[in-house]
Amino acid sequence: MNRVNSSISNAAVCALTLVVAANSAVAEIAATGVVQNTAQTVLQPQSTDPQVKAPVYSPYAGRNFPTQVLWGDTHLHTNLSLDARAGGVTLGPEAAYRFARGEEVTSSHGERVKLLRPLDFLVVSDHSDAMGGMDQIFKGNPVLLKDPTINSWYQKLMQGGAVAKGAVVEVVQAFTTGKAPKIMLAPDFARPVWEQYLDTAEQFNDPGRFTALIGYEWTSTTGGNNLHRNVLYRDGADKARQALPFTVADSDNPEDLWNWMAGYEDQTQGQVIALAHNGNLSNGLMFPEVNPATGKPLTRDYAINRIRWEPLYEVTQIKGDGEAHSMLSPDDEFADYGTWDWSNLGPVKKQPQMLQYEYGRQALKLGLKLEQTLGINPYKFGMIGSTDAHTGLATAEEGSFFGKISYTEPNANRANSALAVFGDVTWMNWSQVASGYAAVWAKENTREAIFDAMKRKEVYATTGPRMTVWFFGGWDFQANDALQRTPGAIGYSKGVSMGGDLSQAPAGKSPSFLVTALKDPYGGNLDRVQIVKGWLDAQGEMREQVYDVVWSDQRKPGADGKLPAVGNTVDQANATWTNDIGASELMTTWQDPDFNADQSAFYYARVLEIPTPHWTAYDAKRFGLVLKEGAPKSNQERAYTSPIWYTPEK
Amino acid sequence: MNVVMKFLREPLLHFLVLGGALFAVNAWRASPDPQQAPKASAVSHRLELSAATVNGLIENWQKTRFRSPTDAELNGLIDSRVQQEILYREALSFGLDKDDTIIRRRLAQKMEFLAEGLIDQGEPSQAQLQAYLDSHPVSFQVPPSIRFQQIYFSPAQHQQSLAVDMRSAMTALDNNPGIDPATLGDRLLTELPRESMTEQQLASRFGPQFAAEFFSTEQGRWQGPLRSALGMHLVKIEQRDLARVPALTEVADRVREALLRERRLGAAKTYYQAVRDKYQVVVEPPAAPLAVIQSVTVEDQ
Repeated sequence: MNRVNSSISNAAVCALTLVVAANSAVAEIAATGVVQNTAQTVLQPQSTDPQVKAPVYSPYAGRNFPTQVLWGDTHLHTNLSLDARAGGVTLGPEAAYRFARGEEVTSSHGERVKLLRPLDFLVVSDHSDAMGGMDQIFKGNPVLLKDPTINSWYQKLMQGGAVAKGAVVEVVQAFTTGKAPKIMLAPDFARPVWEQYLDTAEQFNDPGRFTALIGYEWTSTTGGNNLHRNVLYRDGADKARQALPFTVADSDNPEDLWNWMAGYEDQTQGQVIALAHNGNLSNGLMFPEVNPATGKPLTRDYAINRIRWEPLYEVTQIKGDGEAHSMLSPDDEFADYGTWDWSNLGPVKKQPQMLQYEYGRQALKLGLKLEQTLGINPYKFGMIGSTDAHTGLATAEEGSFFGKISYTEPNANRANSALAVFGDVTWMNWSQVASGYAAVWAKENTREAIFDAMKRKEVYATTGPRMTVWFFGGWDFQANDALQRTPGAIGYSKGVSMGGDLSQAPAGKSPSFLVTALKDPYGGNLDRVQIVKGWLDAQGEMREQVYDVVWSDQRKPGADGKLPAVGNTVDQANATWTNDIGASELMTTWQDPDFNADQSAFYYARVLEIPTPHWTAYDAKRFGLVLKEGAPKSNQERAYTSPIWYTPEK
Repeated sequence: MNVVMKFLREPLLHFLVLGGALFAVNAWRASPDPQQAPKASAVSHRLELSAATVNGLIENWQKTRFRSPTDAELNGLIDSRVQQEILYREALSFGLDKDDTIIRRRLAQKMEFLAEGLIDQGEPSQAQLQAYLDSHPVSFQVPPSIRFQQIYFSPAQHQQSLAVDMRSAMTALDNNPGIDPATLGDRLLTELPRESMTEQQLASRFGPQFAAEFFSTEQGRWQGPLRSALGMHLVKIEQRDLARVPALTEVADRVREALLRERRLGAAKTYYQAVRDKYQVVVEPPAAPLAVIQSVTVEDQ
């Protein structure tokens, strides 16, 4: 098996990192596990057994499906992350957890801050390379300062101001171009930091009330191409402490990360998944057709492992939204929400042909195409949003946005100034997206329940608001199903939830979908619900279509079939809006009018809010600013569900 | 947490040769041994690595690498351990530990750190937990909550007749106390727990204004209409639970966490105060008016 061979050929890497079991016997076991697990993942993604029986008096009896959405952030950095600390964050994991569970904390710049409402779970995902290292540089650790590079960073950081800001860029670039000082990557350095990190997670994990999911970020950025992955654990510290996190010093190739994950699971009997970072800064490498590591087309083994280890994708975050790009989806008038398409982190400028390998919708389509040749879909992922904030503060609310990194926490200059200047590429702060959160349909608020929901992809992404979205697919949904009091009861009994699979189309039937969206009580009303379909046509070409399926205010589509815009009540000067337009809930059933049972397809729901003020409007109002040309005026926040796939029988 | 464990987990520890060597000092024994006189006359010291220390090196390796070190790797671990210790001792013999700002700062830090562990009185007793809870009632207070019924009206469904429809529902409720409220009004998508809810919980489902208004309505009768983020409601508070200090059994974990944190933070301070009392501190005034740097002398009594 190739899998075994690849494990052995990586032995050099393993011997260096000494993290993955390098002997072939263990690799063989790991390989077997992979295949079994893959079969499970592909064939039975729905582990929920709804058990809906004949009606009884108690409407709650017999229920065995998730009835609550849990909200969290799977991607948050603290002072243990090199770049975050260099950028000024002083808050560590403890403050991050306290903030996420609803307590008031003081930000790195002395500002009191509290979430409007608590999150249900948090993954502190500090960069594994040199975790805790920058904090040591700031403290003047004499061993580290012997290194001339570190010493020069230290001197600059101590100067403060523009010099320090320049040093932050230097630090980031050093780690994104493989030029990190070796001394900061040593295991002896990493171990005590990791132990402490796990202890803090244990301290804050409070089953039933607040979940501290253990995780870290593997930060492969060779050549500036962002291929980061967040590794999430189902397990507690007892298992997680048995292995040091995988680092880029070990390898920058995701396949080696998967190897490490297999080794971890095999040794500890634990479970981990990896969540790919928004691909918009990967310069065409996040969803490849040609494996960048080999220069050859993807293999079946790659596909098996990719979807085995990476069931989810971070489709939206502060550094841009990655659902749909207008060049790839020219007919989608709502594409390009918070698009960042100028360069990678190098910065190497973006070429148009790179986009097709960076955006979520296109990758879902590419997955269908690759499945034709590889027999397995490597990009059959569910979607979540998260912040990737480097402030210790998981903020995704427009009105209380603490930014990407601590030097862009609220102040009178941030909205009109640059986040980063890389040569002739300038990233403006106003391009930061106050996004997003991960919504998880879980049965209870525990590590296990949240992880399992993630693995079955019963999750969705939002750009910050907490709208509740149900999405079910089946063969028998009818119009009056949308009138039921509890969408879950009818949805699970007649179909599969988001993340699920449809196959074996009954003769002459098209798939039907039940979709329900309830607004965020603190947010804007709802404009519309859309179903996005992607499929392979008879020629095997990738196609997509966005259908408006239910909308507010009794609007009528125009002669071109286009639904008129919902309107805009945003008062820019006062950073307010009114909910006079839009709906508080939208619910319908929809049947695919263009279905062909021989063609593989996926469907996901996109829920749009009415326009609300962008975070820069709140800055302008509170600091008395006039925003520079180019700053967004308002935005239509949204949710993206994980898809439901239709696969024809072979 | 015992002192040794705290040391093991302390991230700073592993940075400094000094720190590592101090920790290892118990596991080492060094003595000039005349019985085993070295062959070469240059050999004047003995350095012994105990089996426990070697096992520790191996265990540490196994835990992070999923396997035992090879002989060559183990030799490497031992060599670097030996090298570190020898250089450390040579440094001491040259007096390199004296007058070094970083070492001074580090040792002071270690004392603070030790102090936190020294004053740790072990697992708090029930009585101590109760006392802590009694002295910090606000930190653990259970917020007020209500048990209620509500009837939802969707403005989109009733349009112009919304006010009329809500009034007639209200009349039905007033005239017929036995009526099942679930037969009135419209479907509400958000599922309400059957236990009581706090204002914060209500706000997360219906918006903050509604939650605040609802909380201030009178108990025991149907009232409304109240506007929420989702639509209009008739509401009735059936039971109101005031804010209260919970029993220890309800919050034992949180009280323990807070108590231990307070002990930890207070310990270093208490320790410092105790040792501070041993010193007479004499601070020389600045030599000249322009002096920027203050000279501080601490004299041992």
